[in-house]
Amino acid sequence: MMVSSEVKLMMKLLIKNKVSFAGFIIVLTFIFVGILAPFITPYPADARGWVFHMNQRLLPPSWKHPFGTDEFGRDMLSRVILGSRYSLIISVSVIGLALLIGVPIGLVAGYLGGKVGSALMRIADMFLAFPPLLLAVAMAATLGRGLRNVIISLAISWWPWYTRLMYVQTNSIKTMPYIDAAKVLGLRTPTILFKHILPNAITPVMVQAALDMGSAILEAAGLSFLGVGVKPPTPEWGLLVTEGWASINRAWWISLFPGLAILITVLGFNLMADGLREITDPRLRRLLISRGGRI
Amino acid sequence: MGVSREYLIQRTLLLFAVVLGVVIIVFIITRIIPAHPELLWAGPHATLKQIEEARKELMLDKPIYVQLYYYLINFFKGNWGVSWRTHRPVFDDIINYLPATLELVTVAFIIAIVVGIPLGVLAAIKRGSWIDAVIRVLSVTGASVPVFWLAMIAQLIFSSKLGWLPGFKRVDEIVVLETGFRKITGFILLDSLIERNWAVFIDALKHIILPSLVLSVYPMGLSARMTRALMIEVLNEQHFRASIAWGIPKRTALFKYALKNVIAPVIASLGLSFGYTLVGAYLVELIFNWPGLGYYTAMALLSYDYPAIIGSITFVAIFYTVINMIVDIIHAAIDPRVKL
Amino acid sequence: MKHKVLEVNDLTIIYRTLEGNVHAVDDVSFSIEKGESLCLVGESGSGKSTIALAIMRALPPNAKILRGEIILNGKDLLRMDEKEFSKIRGKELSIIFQDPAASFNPLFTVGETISDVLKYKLGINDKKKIKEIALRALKEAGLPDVERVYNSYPHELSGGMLQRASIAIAISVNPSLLIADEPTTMLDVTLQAQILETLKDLKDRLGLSILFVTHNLGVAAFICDKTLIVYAGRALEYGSTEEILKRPLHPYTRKLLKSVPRIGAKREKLPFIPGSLPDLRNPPRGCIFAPRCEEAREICFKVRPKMLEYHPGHYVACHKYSEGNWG
Repeated sequence: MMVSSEVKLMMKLLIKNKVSFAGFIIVLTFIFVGILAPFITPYPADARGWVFHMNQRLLPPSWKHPFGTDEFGRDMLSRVILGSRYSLIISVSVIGLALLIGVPIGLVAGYLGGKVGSALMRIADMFLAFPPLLLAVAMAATLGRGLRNVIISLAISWWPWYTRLMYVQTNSIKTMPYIDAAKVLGLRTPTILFKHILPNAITPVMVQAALDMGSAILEAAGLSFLGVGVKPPTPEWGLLVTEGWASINRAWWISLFPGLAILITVLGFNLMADGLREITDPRLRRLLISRGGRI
Repeated sequence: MGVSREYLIQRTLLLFAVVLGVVIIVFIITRIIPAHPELLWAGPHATLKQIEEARKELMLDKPIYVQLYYYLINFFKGNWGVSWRTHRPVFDDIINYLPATLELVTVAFIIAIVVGIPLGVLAAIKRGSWIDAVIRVLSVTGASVPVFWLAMIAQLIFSSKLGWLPGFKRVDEIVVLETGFRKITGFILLDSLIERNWAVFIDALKHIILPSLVLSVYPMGLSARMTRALMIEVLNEQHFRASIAWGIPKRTALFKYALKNVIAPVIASLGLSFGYTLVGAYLVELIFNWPGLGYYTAMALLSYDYPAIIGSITFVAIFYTVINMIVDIIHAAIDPRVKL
Repeated sequence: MKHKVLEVNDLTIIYRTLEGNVHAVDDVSFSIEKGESLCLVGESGSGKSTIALAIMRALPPNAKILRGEIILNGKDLLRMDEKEFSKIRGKELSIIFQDPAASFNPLFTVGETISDVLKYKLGINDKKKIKEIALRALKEAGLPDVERVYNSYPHELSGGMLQRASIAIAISVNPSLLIADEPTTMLDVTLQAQILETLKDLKDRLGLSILFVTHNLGVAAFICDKTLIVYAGRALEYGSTEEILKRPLHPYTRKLLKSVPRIGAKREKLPFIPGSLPDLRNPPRGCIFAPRCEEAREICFKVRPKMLEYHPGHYVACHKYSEGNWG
């Protein structure tokens, strides 16, 4: 009904906005490649990284190895393709986990309001006092390297954004007449929260979450570069770039292609976001901007 | 000026509360989450005796609240532990490395503002045209590029291959020694200006171009996008149309009237991006061997120098909070409507 | 015959939207003589503001003028390049907007805005002289304590004061035509009357020609010599205000008159007429008002009525008054 016509209108506007539509296509391609990755890598063993071919080290791009080979003779194209799957796993898990933590807290804080609500929000603010990535770096340095720890570290620094968004949404919805009606009918608070407020408040949070996936990929790459990301030989794109750094003067291709993969994927998400943000509520955006990103 | 003393006091109190919160979060991460904090604290090559010392120093045999109490006391005394890599107090190290980072970030921001805002205005005026599309894609690219990768590529092309610009460090040591340059503030560009040491100034300028350009990509894109979005909004405002209709020339209406509405929020958002840029500096400094706080932290990370890692991260978080407060106050001071 | 300040002939404007072209203004003509005031009266969405914006060349980018001419002092504004028009804008032609609070840039004092207008439009560079003229204009517009108003930011002034300030800006350049786009709609009733009083006074004293856009026939009765009734982008009736109020011809005008509040009446409601505006993406073939007209006959749905002079100087577009068509 209302939601679907809203989505239809957004799609219509998105298609009209060519640049954003290009971003949308990139994102779709990324998800598609990420899911199919194990089946479309030319050299699956190279992709996973457990084999060395010492006779074909540091080969420049050719028909056989379009992205060249690395220090251990592994096919870079295969590694970059499989890397998309890790980027997809990381971004989906980070955002999913952050939503799982952030949304309920924002919902409760917004609904209860008062002292409890503002106390919860102050805690979220404390987390946001850290510049992006830094809190994740501290967490990752404490937990140690590995895919799981990367996901936990990034999610811990990410959830407060959704708490804020959810808090604002809930605050505006809880004064609606139908919520009063639900209260008068004697519905239990959890029922009101999850059946009546959550479905109406979640849409902008989900839109934001989908768009944040690009940033998650970028930050995971940053963690890898600082040595607190995934463990080698995981073909995560950031780690691939980092591994190529030592030999960049002899073999530029090792770092170039995974970096391009990050750039293009994140660009896809951000171009899509850029269009969507102009389409969706400009007043909210105005408010966000005029208050320096803090509502 | 719309800023009152009460507001300043209130903001300072809030700042203190946030700093306290930051320190407590760091305490939780460093002391409560790891099973053996003393192992992290003593470093990977520590002897049993050193680990035992770390246990005592961290007071791990005492209850949590006692640990927290002494943690806070030590923190506000500037007693942040000793880096086992440099064998110096972490706090002293941070103060030592800070100017290089600030210099780099400042130059990056100047580039971002000087290039970004005019690009944003241009895109807004020509919105819908191909110029707008190009500026838009470029500015979004700035927010999408992995900055450490861009740094590597820029260094490879402009320094290693073409040899146009130096790719490592802040200044050539030989030039420093030959000219008898001495540090005053730690900001080499500023110090060399004060001493009128042109050789060092030009050398330092050459050194800062590549890393600051790479670092400016994100805030430049951000300021261009922000300027564009806000400018388009202002161009649609009644008061902009009124100023045109009343006969104020377009150029004046754009660059005197509309731009003023845009500048304050753009600077506010740049203030927010300061954190991002600082983190970008972490990555860029490592590539360019730029002896700043980011380089220090990155080296600490690579060698598991835990006190140094945690100390510098805490410091940057607090620094970031202070900057945000200053940006808020500036924002309030520019806008006559805001009475604080 | 008197000198015609403004002549609008066969003006036709469309808006291009995602859902197709909207025929916002269709074949509208009228004229204003020197010292005369004309009211464009219609509901919201009738196209009256679009006409005003077209004269100011301030239409949104998706609007397109298909036909017509807008002649100001003998020169067609639609066939003028931007450079030429920029000399006229804010000089021969000035405007007061509906929402005074939104008309001023919040970051500049009222004085700064007026001074810039005077500086560029009167070509004066002497700051003291500019301020002198500005203060005089503010006083002329009925503001007390002009020095304070001059130094105030918009948010420090009330809506009424800001509207007087914009009147001051508009008259300070001695325009040949002043466009007033619903200048009192956003104000409360007592203020409305005062602002209208001021405008009327200025018109009489300075010999201003005014194009007044309003949805309120009561306002028209108070200030306008002539009235043009517009509905869904088309002109339905045109003549002296007195005539139209005394002897309304078009069924729509009669409905409007019945639902009109008097100035100073306690509550102002939009005129209520059953039915709603037609879909302007596919305007009906015949008379635009036919679907809502109680007197409509078959011909009204088939043939578009022409504007005819029923009494001397009193025009109406309705089949009822054209002989032969009405049985």
